[in-house]
Amino acid sequence: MKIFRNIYNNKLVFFGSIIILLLVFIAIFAPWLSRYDPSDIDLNNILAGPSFKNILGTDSLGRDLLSRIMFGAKVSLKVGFIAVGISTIIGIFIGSIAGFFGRWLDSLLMRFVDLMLCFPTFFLILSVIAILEPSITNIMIIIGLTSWMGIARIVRSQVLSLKEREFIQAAKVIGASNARIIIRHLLPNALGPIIVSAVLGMAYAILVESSLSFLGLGVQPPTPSWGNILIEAKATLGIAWWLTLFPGLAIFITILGFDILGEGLRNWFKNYE
Amino acid sequence: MIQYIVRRLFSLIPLFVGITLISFFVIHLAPGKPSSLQTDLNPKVSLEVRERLAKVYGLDKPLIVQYKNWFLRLVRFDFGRSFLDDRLVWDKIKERIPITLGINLLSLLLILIVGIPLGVNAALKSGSFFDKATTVFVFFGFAMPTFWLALLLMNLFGINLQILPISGIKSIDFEFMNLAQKIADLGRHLILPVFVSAVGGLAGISRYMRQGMLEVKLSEFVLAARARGLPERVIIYNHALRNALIPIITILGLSLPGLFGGSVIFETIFAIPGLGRLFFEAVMSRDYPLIMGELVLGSILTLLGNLIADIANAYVDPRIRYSR
Repeated sequence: MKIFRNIYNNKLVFFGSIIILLLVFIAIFAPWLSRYDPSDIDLNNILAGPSFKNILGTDSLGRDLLSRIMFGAKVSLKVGFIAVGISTIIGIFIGSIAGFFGRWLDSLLMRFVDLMLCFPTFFLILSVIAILEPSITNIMIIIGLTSWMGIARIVRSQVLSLKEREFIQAAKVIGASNARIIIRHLLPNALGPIIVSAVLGMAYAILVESSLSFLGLGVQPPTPSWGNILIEAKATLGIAWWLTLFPGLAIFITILGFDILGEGLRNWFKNYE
Repeated sequence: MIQYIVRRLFSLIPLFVGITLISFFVIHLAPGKPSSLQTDLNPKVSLEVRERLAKVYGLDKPLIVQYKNWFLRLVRFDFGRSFLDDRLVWDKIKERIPITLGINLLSLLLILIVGIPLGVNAALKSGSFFDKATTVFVFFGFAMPTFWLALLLMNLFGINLQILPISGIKSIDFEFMNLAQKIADLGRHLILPVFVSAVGGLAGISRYMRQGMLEVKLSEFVLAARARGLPERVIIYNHALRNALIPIITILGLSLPGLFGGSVIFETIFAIPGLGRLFFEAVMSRDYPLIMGELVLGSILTLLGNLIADIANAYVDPRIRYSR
């Protein structure tokens, strides 16, 4: 197949998917894979370095770091998936309406997109969290509500370029409703770019979640998340290098995985056209 | 040119009104009234005091009227007083602007002087080892969480090697230094924060620069310049680069909100008394007037950044100046 000829791009898709699949596997099976409960406190074994007993060491309460990182994967992926789900749905909805109906509705919606892009998003997210309590649910919703603009723009431009094509006119002639034209004919043709920006959006959402948790305004302890494990890393800087290195590495690898996959898919869809 | 700038300025007005509307909406998302935060925590506050507070903030009036009053005070830079220490919000913000703006400008400068040559050279030698190394760096830069990088560098340079300070922007004996020492001291304190805040943007700019240059490299006017026998240096820097720079300016404008947002993170980690840390403290203590003030101000700065990017674009590209 033509798709498999482009080895370099496939390598990106391949490695990206491997990283993500591995991560999903760890997140789902964390309770069975980990040797300790992530919130089991062992005060006789605090701040122990990596050893056979605790492969990645322990934190200041003697909790096993590896177990906490594994359970943290679940939180990060969950936040990523749901936030991206929300932003993708909003983006598709607004983008397709703006592109399809055009005229004043288009300019109104696109001005709104410009407006949202002007906000320092992180400031906005923090403000909302200051008002609503920081919790996983709130974080997912807020990240979703503040990151749909890219997808809306992409969908709009796809719809704009497709809607004058013959197959859309044909659909109109046989009397298909607007909703049907958008859902059955326009959106499937815009699927490639939507998937790419959703994958890259996962990386963004996970990064924002971990930053928020690191600031203490995200996932709240005792629920382990990579960001809030790193809070302790700052307090033990120079004492427990493993607390800094491993949770950060987990975030880094995850974001790298989604970035690689997104980049690979982008080239893949480009060649496919 | 002036006509263009004036036109752009006017188009910013609806955006500004929109920003204030959303900020106002956000603050009214709060369950209960903003004033209840001051009073709920304190059981001694009587109903009378509550009502007086409501009156002070105009909370007994309809939302539209409240918005109108707040907006009218806003355009006069009157953001109210901080809940925390009763100082004027604008005073608290004003004294912190130079620090955050300074660090962000330094980091933008670093992004430009490193990112552009990196992208250009990667594009010129596409496929080479240098190009591949740049691509790897770009992926790393994108995936690196700012706060983790900050922690790693603090650990390496501040604790293991002990050659750089890891918090604040000046040493304790700053007052007793002469000018040269003061500059050196500031510089030593700023190296890590500036570098950390630049890494993400650096990756982005070098990547877009590479893409833009790759496209421009194959275009006909570059071929024409080459056919005229111009030296390669002139072709690349006077012809190709100038065209490839246009999208970069727009992207820089769009990346400003990210830079301001990022300052919350690195200012908190490095204990830098700037707008980001002020905002973080405001969020932690739920200081609404301060949160609102910073939110609006951050957006205005972003709007201005976009305006500057547009003007720069119009300056570089006459086509933009004369279109509609």
